[in-house]
This record gives sequence, C-alpha cells and structure tokens, in this order.
Amino acid sequence: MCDDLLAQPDVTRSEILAHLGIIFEEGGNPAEEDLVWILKELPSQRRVWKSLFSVRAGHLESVETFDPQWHD
Amino acid sequence: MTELADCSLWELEYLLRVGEATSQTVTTAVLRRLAETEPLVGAYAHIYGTAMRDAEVADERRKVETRSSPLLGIPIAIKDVFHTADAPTEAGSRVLRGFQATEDARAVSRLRSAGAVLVGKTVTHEFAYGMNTPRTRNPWNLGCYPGGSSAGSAVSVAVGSAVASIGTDTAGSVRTPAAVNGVVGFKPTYGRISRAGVVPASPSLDHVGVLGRSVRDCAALFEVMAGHDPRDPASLRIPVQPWTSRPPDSVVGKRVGVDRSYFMDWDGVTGGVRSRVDTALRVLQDLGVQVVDIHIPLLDMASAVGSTLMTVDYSVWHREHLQTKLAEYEPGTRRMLMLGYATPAVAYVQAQRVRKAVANAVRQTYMEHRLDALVAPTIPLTAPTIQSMLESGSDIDLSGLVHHSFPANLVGLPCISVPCGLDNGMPVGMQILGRPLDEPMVLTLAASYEEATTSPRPIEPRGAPHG
Repeated sequence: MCDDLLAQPDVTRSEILAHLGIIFEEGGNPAEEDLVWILKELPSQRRVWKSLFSVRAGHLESVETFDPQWHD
Repeated sequence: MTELADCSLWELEYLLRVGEATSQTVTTAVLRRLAETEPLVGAYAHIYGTAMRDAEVADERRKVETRSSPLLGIPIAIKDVFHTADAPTEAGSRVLRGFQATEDARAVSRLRSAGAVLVGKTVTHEFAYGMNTPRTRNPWNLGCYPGGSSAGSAVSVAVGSAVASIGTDTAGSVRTPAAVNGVVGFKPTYGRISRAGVVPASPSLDHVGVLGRSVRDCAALFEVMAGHDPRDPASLRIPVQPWTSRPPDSVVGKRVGVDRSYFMDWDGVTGGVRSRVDTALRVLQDLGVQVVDIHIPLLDMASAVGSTLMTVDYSVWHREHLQTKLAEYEPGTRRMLMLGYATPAVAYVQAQRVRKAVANAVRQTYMEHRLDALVAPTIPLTAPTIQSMLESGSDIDLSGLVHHSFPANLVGLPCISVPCGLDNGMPVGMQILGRPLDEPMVLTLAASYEEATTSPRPIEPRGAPHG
C-alpha cells in the first residue's frame, strides 16, 4: 500500500511538502507515515472540495459576519 | 428514595433550599459515586481536591443569602478545554501537558460566582478534535463509544459523578455524547456563552454548551453562563430571555419541520434510530405540535462545508505547536492538522460562501413553513463499539457521526439533544433546532417532550473495566 502511494507523481508529493513548509520552515520534515496518510487522504478530500463548487453561483453571497436576528 | 447522586439539579436545589440536604452531603454522595465509577468509565482528567471545601463555603453562603442561584452548592464538571486558574488545562493532549492558565475561562468564572462546586475537569478527545480514542467509556456498554469530544462531561452526568457539566460543541461535541450516554445536551445560539479562555477549535463554529439530566437542568447552567463578554469577539449583546423562572409555555400549535431526506432517510441512519425519532414525533403531535415535512435546499452541503472550514481553522491555531511539539500529538490529530495546510485557499473561501447559502436556505425554509423548530435524530446511530471504529480504519472516521450535527453549528442555531428511548439497549437522542436566539422555544419543546415520556436512569456501568 505504502509503495503504491509513494509511487504517485512527484508533483503531488512536492505539492504537499510545499504546503507543509509553512509548518516546517524552521527545519524538520513530516514523518514519512504522516505524509503517506495525507497522500492517501487527498483524493477523498479533493472530492469534498470539488463538491463545494457544484453549488450554483446564483446561490452565493460574500462572506458576512453572523447575524442572529431574522426578520420575517 | 432516589440517591442524592442520581437527583437532577432542580431536585437538589429543592432539597438544599428546604434544608433536607446540604451541599456537603450532596458533594459527598457525588464524590462517592465518582470513586465507584471512575475506574470503569474514566470520565475525569483531573479531580479537584477542593470540592468539599467549596461545598462548605456554599452551605455557609446559603445561610446568609435571601435568594440563591440554583447552582449554589451543586457539583459540576468542566471539560478540560476551559481554562482554570487552579488546575491544569491540557485539552487531552501531551502538547499542553502541565499548562496552567492564570485565570478562569469566563464560563467557569460565572459558574463559580453562582456558587457551583467544581468536581473536576473531564476527559476530551485531543483538542476536542475527535481523532483519537481517549480512555473514557460509555456506561451503557463499556465496550462502546462514549461520544465526543465532550465524552467525560456526558459520562460524568450519566453515572452521577457530576450533577451537570459543561462542554464545547464545534460539530456536535456536546449533543453527540449526550445522545449516546442518555443525557440532555444543549448548545445555545452562536455567541450566547463566552468562549474567552476556552482552547479554540474553529472560531466560527465553536459554541459552549451544557449537559444535564433534564432540560431544565441544562437551562439553569445556560442562564448562569450566558451573557455578553467583551473578551469574546463573537459574544452577543442581546439579552437572554429568562426561561426557568417563568411558567411553562404551551406547545399547542407550534410547528416543527422534519427534513426526511437529510435527517431520516440518509443512508447512515439506522432503522432503530429512525423508529425512535418517529415515535418521539408522534408524542409531540399528541401534545398538539404540528409536524411538517419540509426539504431544505443545499443542506446536503453541510458536511462538506463544515469539514473544510474546521480542518483549516484548527490548523491555524496549532501552527506553533506543530513546529515545536509535533511528536507530542496523537497521530490522527497531527495528520488532520497537517491536512489543513494542504487545503486550497479557494476551497476554504468557497466553503464560506456555500455556508452562507446554506444558512439562507435554512432561514427561508423556517419562514416559508412558519417553523418554530426542526426535529431530527441527534446522530444517525447508537454508540458503535470502539472496536468497530478502530477496525474501520487506522483513524477514526467521524463523517457519519457529524452529518446530523453540523447544520446547527454552521447556522449558529440553538439546539438541544434529549433522550428518546433505547435501541438494542443503547440510548437514542433527538435534537430540536430552533431559530437563532429562540432558546425558550427549544427548551419548551424539549421539556414538554421530556415531561410526556420517561427516560431510563440511573445508569450503572456495564461490562468490563477499561484497560
């Protein structure tokens, strides 16, 4: 399983390492098993992110602060 | 006669007020119950050595006060994410081992001011994330999931090692453990109770909530803790309407909506849970409540929105700890925190925009159908076995457990979970979601249902002690 995951295109692995650079800028690296887990998890996460874009633009508004007062 | 450790908060309030019990006798009974149950259920991360002294102070205070808070002298437990000046706050993590706050969280200071006796700080999943397996066990079956992340808060109330407790709810973390342990869990409107001094998870989703043996018990804690606090930027300035001190409202003619496609017919909902909630809806109808089938557009986006926002929000707060204490995290938590850094910014922004659309759809549905509340199962299933959760993968999959609870966090709605029967001997919870700020309606509907039914209690831990 791990071999399969690690055989994914380098760009995916590099991409993740680049994101994690925000954490590891002072040095260090993620543990190999953590990186493998993230690579394994990413496809399902991408499906979730992609699903967010299925909502038609007409439904969307800009982000606002919470307004608890509803007006009938 | 009911043992003191099994009484509700209001039963104890009466006994204390008329002099048939003292806080010291009540606290003694609760501490005795704690000693009996703690080896089995592991609800506490830290037990205060000061409870009896606090009880003595409460008894003295009662002698001189003409009108006391219902919490005076009542033993209360606190989830270990609330800062306390006299005990460590570790949030279930080695990352915060030994961390000592310099002052109490606002919610805790309000409990203390009301005279509550603090029993201890309860076990939480690491940083309330829910990705690890803490030592707390479900008293209905010690091999089963105790809920999360306010696991210890719910279990302590269920077994009587606290009369009531407080927790936090970012994606159901008060309501889920309440449901699986057969107690009441209440999350008020977003911003009602200050989060100042609470270890944060996802600031736009985080709520402080309460757990108790009855709806009215929860309301008592809510009324003490709610109110504006400038230290929490989301804290509301809108006054809280008193509920416990006023006569009960009628529920006749109130309208509750049921979105069957999202909450009842979803694949993950078990037949037993659906059946118990349908029965509970018939009870509400018998009380005069109108039950309306509705459909909320876009609600099926709630889990995608919530998980995307939560994953990133968590990661932001943890950056420094990830840099310096990476190995101290539980693997599941650490990996989810790293995953937050791999979430594209466009996905996060889109999640915020869809969240707004979901909130609008919920509001429009309430208005179109003139709804006072929504009703749904709290979670789609009864407590699974811990073994089955561990076998399902190397990390705990929470997606099914938060499906039903996320909407109330995304929209900021007040929401309560009440026990609505057993399925195969395990508790089922029903949640009631009100309009923002309408805590009285939520409490009234829940209390009316509660009064019309009986929920099994007390609970004696069953099964083998945890290892």
